[in-house]
Amino acid sequence: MVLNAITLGFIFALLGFGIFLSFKVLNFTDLTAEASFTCGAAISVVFASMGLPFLSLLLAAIGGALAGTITALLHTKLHIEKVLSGILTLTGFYTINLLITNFRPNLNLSRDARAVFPRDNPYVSLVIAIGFALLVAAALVLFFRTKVGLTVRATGDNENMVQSLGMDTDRYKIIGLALSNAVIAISGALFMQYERYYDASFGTGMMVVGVVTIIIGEVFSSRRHYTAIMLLGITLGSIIYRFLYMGVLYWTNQPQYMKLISALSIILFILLSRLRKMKKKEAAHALRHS
Amino acid sequence: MPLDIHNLNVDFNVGSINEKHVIRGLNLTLDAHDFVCVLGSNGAGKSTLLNAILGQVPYSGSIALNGVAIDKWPQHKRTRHIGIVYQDPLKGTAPNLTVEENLLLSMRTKGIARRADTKAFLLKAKEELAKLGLGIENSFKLPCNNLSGGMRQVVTLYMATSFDAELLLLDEHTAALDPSTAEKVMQITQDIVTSKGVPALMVTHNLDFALAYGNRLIVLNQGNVVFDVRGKEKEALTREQLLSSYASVLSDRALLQN
Repeated sequence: MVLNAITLGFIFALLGFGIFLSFKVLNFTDLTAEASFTCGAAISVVFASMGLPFLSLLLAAIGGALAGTITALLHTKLHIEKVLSGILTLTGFYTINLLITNFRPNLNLSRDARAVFPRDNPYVSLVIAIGFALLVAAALVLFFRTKVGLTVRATGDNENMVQSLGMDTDRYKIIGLALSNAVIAISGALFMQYERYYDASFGTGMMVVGVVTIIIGEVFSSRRHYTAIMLLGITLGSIIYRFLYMGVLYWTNQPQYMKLISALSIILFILLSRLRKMKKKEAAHALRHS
Repeated sequence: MPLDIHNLNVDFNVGSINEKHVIRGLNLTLDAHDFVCVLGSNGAGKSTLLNAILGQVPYSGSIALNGVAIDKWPQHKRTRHIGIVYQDPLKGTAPNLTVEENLLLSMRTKGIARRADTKAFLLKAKEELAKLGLGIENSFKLPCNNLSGGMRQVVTLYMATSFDAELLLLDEHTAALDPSTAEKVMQITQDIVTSKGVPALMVTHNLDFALAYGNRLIVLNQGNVVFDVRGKEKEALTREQLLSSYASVLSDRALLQN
């Protein structure tokens, strides 16, 4: 059970990375996440059933990137509000995701179908999940060091400044959101392959899970301009969230409590980080006047 | 000519009861190495003029940069050729990116790709910024929001001119700074403009700065140039002469300095 929680923690860390990219780096309240998570899982269940589990991850990433691109285009080219752009994509992708699985709302991965995770060895599954989290985290850290990555960061930080330097911020919003949703879709695909089960409602509530993960992560990583530390914090946050989930399930035997717990834990962690900031300010003030 | 503006008109709220003609048939030509100070009251069209050059407001008329009409260029294409420093020090730099990362971004517009070039660029930036004596060179690895307003304006100024800008626009870029920092930033501005040889258009409410810096001074009123003086004539111009003729069209802020 503990092993399961840790493995899921690493798989959902990717969801956290994706949401970190859109919410924190790009400063874009992107609701597409719920669609791209399901989209990744849907693509993965179809192609893994065909015996192509690894290719399915790549295709899932492309599907997620497409969803992110559509949201970004709606916002940048049609000037639709960020939240509404995400909702429009989310709504449209509900049907697209059903189309991918030929209108079957849930599917099992057959016993003999190959998946990224072995069926009977939780230790190997954990190592694979850690491997994927590390790989994606390393890729993101490297990406943020490239010129495009740096510009994506700057676009979220100060759009006006990026424009002043002669760069088209629309392009970097599109790149950022495509990448964010590609990572989220991989998370969905890995989750499906780990559970060997697909459900069209997988994505529901994933936004909140991602945000909780980031908020818990922020408590552990105060120096936010170091992406690597932030990603590490998110991974830790994701694992803690899974333990919380496990605890709630253990005590109540009712997973529906998790929605309320998620909302409350967001409030609690925001409160904690506010208090910490206030304490820091007070300490700085006291130091100045001592 | 680095900048040639012909018959520029900017109207706000067209067709509504609040319709306002902010710039009316303005003509302005900048020579190479011109450093023009622009004075005028609030609403005279100073900032709107800069916004029109940057393509941030719709206008009629024509704007040409070194003989090339830029009227159809989108904003980001214009800013690839034009450097801009705004009044708000927070506007010009990305606060959570380090000073080094901010400088690297400005370099990106130059298309420098190789690692060796990047290193050389940063080294040169460090050397040049160290000469200014503000201590920015020691903060290269810190996020920009750790810098003071004056330091951030200087970093912005450096970024705006580090690529081969064909024109530099300064929109009251010292207005949010304390007097001594503002003076220092102005001196640095003059040095950078002179050493880079980039023509500059500086909007200001500060009469002393307008008289002390630059080689040309223009006064805008109701969207047009009502006074244009340059060279020796500008050097000889005194605050009293300027005020006796243009007190009514200068801003209250400029007049309060007396």
